[in-house]
Amino acid sequence: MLEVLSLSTGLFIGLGVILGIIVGAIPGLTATMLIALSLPFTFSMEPIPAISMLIGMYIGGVSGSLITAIVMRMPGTPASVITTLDGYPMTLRGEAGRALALGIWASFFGGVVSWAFLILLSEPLSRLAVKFSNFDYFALIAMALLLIVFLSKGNMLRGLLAGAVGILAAAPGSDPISGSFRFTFGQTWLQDGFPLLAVLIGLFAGNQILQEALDLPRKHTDAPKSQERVSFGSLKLVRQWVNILRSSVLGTWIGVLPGVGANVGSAFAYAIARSMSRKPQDYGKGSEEGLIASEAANNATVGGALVPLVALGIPGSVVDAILLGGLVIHGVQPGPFLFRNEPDMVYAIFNAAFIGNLIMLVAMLALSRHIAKIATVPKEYLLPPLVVMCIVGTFAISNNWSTVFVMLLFSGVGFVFERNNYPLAPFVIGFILAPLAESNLRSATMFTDGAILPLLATPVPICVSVVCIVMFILNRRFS
Amino acid sequence: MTSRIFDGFLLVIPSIFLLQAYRTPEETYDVMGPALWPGLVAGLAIGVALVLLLTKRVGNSEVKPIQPRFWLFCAATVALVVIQSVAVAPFFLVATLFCFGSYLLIAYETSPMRLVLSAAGSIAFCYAVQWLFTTLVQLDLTV
Repeated sequence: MLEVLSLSTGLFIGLGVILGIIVGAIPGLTATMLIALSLPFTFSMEPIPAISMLIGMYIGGVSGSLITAIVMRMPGTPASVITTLDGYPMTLRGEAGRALALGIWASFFGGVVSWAFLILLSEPLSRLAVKFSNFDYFALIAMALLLIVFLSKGNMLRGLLAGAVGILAAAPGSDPISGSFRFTFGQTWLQDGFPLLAVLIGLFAGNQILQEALDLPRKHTDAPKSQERVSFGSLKLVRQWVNILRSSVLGTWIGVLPGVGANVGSAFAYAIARSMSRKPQDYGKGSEEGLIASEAANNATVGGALVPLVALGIPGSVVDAILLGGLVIHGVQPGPFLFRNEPDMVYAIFNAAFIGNLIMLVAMLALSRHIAKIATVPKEYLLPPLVVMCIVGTFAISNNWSTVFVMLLFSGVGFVFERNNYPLAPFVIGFILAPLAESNLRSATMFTDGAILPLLATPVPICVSVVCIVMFILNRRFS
Repeated sequence: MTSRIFDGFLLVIPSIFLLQAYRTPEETYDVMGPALWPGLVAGLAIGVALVLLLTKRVGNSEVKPIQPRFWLFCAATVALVVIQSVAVAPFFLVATLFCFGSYLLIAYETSPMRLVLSAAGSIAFCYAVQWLFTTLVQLDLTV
């Protein structure tokens, strides 16, 4: 417990937040990429500071993207696409400082509200989940995968196929029940399967580098010529408390749904705020309400997405899938028994989620003007060093160059998938959750002597089916 | 067209898995066995791939052509890993050449000052990475 609250853990959270803010502010680089690339560096760290730093990166990455979204109309990550609609018009009016301040405070309050839900919901949910049967767990995992497919961009069939290929990519190696080798195609290097970290670094860091390299060279963006200071006086945020609270709650619940990211949360909250506003005509033209709704919601998805991760061991977003990989790498088994077996880790996650938001508030208020300039560094300077970091970081996993070749392979896989409009999120979630899904299903069928009907007859699978059908209909209706 | 070729490729992968699932021996104590779950998923994937292949496409978005320099950048990346895996040259040297060479490939830069700065930056960065990983993480990157 002392380690959770120690100064060193706090420093690592701060480091993670600042790195996340910088990376989140640079268009083309994402928190996902930063966290995937940072995982090998955490090997030499204790689990609690490591996971705390990664959560700090998550918070910083989602928050940092608002800087360039407001100042340059270039969202650092998809989470702040909606923020550009009202943030940039405010900049054109000469109110960049005010827009930044509103966005930063809204992000902070969104993060704090979702942190409260994280603490309130996680433990009861985990106590409930302990009573889940293997069939219930399988149903929840299937729901996570289906929701990611329904809500991923592009053609739903492509999402389904991507998810299926991700599940198949997890099949080579040793069977989770018997331990015998399967799908190795006679290759000894496949006996351990594809290393999780190499796959994640390849798909999110290597692939992203290739996507950025494809568009080079591009016209350089000049640094903003003049920028007023971030003002945090007379923001009159109190008048917006209903908007902030509503957007934060919406964002939290959107974040709880597996597969739904910060961009969906911010878009949803923005749409609701506009529909309930007295001045909907101002939205898209520099409305402070719209900016606040978007930023409160996208930061609230962070805490919301941590709820299923902590309580059930099921990631609420792609970033949480990488965090789950980080937990496993550090010897922590996520799931409903996390509260009983690793209470320190649970409190570390809660602590990091709160302290990270505090540090984000201070850092962004102090540094946002300077970070906007960093975002204009040409990509040509960044990409080669990032490639070197990917290679060395992957080599650090196992001291084996074959792991690096796997990383290169999956960089190519990710690149080809995205170039052909196949979403990567279902692939990643399928890859990560497939072993868990399979072991639960097979354990369940062993108890029932092969009968599959109990899967359809218990409350949890029925609720899961209803949620999936509702989300499918909503997605079809609004897409 | 490229998209359909890729859809067809994604038909081949699950087919290979399905064939392998058919060839995997069953376990007597386990109801499902090691091959049923991947086999089911492979079957589903084949069905979806067939539907995608046979579905008429409407308004396909144009795919931006890939420049030759991009392929050279990819080849340089693979070359870096191959050279390091056979351990014929120090990491610091190869990584520096890669960083500077990649910059030349993707930046189209002609200014002598910027080229010098890029070279100096590559040397400094790669040395820092080698020092960091060999000292702190205890990796064997040197030859």
